[in-house]
Amino acid sequence: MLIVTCFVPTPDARATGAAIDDLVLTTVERTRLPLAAARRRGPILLDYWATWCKPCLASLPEIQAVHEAYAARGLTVVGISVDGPRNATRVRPFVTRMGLTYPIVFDEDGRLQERFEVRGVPNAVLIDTTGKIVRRFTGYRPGEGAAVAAAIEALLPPVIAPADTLPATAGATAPADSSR
Amino acid sequence: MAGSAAVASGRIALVLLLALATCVPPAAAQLAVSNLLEMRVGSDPFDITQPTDRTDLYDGLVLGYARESLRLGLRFETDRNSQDQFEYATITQRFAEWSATGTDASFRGRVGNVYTILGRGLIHRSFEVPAVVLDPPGPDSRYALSRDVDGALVEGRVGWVSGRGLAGAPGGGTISPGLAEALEVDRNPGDVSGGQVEIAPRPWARAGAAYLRDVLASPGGTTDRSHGTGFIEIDPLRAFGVTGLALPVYAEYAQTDGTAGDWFRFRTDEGTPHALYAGLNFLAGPVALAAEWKDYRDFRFGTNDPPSLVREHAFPLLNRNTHVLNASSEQGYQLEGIATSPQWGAFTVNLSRSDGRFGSRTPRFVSEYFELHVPGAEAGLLWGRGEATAFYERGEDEFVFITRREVFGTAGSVTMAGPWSATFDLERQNATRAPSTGFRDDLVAVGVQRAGLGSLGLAWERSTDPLQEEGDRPGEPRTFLAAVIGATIARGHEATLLIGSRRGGLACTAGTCYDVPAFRGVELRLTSSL
Repeated sequence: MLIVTCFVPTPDARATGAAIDDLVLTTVERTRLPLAAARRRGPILLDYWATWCKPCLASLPEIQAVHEAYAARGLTVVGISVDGPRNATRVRPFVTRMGLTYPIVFDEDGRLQERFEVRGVPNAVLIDTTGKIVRRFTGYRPGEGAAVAAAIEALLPPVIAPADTLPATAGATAPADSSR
Repeated sequence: MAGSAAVASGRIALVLLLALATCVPPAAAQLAVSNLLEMRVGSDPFDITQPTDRTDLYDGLVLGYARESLRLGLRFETDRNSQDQFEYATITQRFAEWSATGTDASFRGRVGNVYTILGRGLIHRSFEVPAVVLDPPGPDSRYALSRDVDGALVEGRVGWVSGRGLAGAPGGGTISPGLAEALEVDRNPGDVSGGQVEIAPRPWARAGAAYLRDVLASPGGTTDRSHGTGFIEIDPLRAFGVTGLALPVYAEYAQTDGTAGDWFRFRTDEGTPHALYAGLNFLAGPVALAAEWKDYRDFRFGTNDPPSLVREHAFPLLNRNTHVLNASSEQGYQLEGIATSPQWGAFTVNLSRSDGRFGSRTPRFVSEYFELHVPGAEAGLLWGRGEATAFYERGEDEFVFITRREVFGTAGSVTMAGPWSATFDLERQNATRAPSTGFRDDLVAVGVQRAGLGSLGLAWERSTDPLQEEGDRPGEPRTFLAAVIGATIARGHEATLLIGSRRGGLACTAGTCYDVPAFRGVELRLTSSL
């Protein structure tokens, strides 16, 4: 007979651990990226893409712009290549070509797609500091980086700056031209 | 024996899933739901057994539950059609998984349907390709693309030593649940068991070895094989502290039914079932090079997936031409170079070649590919508001009797006022099929998109390929025309509507190729993620 023990609910996932805390990703440069540490710094954007996916290629510059705009405020962008082991060797040159500076991870056995219920690429998953998925961005149309930026902005504390350095409009910290 | 492990692990996974899902309070848990629904009215114009008003409905529902280190999941699939062919409604995947992570150690255990890879997949790779619904020609019964092992998987890491082990019944992913039921065959025949040990003492160096036993019962008898592999990955430039450059090199050699002593001889003769794969990158600022070699002989056993060393393209005509690896006999290489300039974009050259042997036949695959990608903003192209790519490929693939091929085209996008943008894609192929049948394929696709709302596209294809001829109009070119409308109908819900006709052929996703039948009619695809 199988006995199953029920768990006591955790009141504060941020303090005691969240559903993503067991994930320690290895980048294509063989460095370790623990998501537990990343979420304590700020939100996490997991961007699923592939070298053979045309909409993905169009979206990557916008994801790079999001990384450049929000990394300093705590956002961790992780590009997850779903190219499969057959195309493994092509991923790093491709990353160089696209000028991507955020960490790239290789989902060689599909585990990271299954883990976040990703059903096709491009697909971006936004995770808050409690480890909860707060938004999914499925597919891509030019200019949709602005929607990603707005969702990230909503998760970040407001920028406190001297009055003479404040941006002219709300959300001005988003990429200046996220539709490029 | 084949199904016993699968049935046992499946029952355990399902009981765990149901019990835990009902007793764990939802406050600290996450429930994820995703669904893929495909509805069609129409038929494959090449299939004379299908009525033109045939209706099909496929639905794949995936449920995931996570609470701290525990995860549960299942996939339910159903396929219905107006001809009542091979219909089914069943749970096709289920699992329970537990993991733990410490400061310098981690563990993961999973029962049910598991996926993993040993080395680069020379001796084992189990996987799924999300959002791809297979529709194999013939049985007309659709199902999700996955090749799993129904059993158990454990993985662990302590410091720089890691290992994994698996056991269970492998599913080839080659038959739908409905067809399997009708034929009374097991979708997960046979048993596999094995594991891998890897050491990574430095970020620039790792090495490992893996073993897999593979038992398959078939009407022709039972085969019992053992496969062993060893691999090493090292970056000598990083090892010597060189910054700004990278030279990761990976090599793996695998053998079937050999002893450890046999393995160390690295035999690559025709009488030794073996697989040799090596690849390297060289990254230096704006220049990136990739080189790969392969030598596979008698190394196709259904549960492995060696790298094919063939470029997988985003352009439809090129993607349809993707060379499919035959690990029974194939040797070759792939070289790719990319040079990037802020003003002129990126120039890519890819050269690949494969040679095989089938009895007295020695087919060859050759591809020479050139691509220029120009970002419009920097180069002033398309009024500085777009990007464009031009490509040219020439080659041959005698494995599928194409003795000459030349493909060229251009594609790009233009950002218009506000959230609007437009895309275009123009491609042409001139080819010859053995012995001397020349044909031409043309493709034109245009579309407009509005960020946050949707898209409207038109795709036109014309082919003089005799294999595409309509039965009552021999010698005439065949034309395919479709309108495709995509829309975000609510947050997390996307709809795609196709009206018209779509050409069939090979499609490749994530290094996996499958046949897509032609279609004429109306198809609605709804994807939802909650």
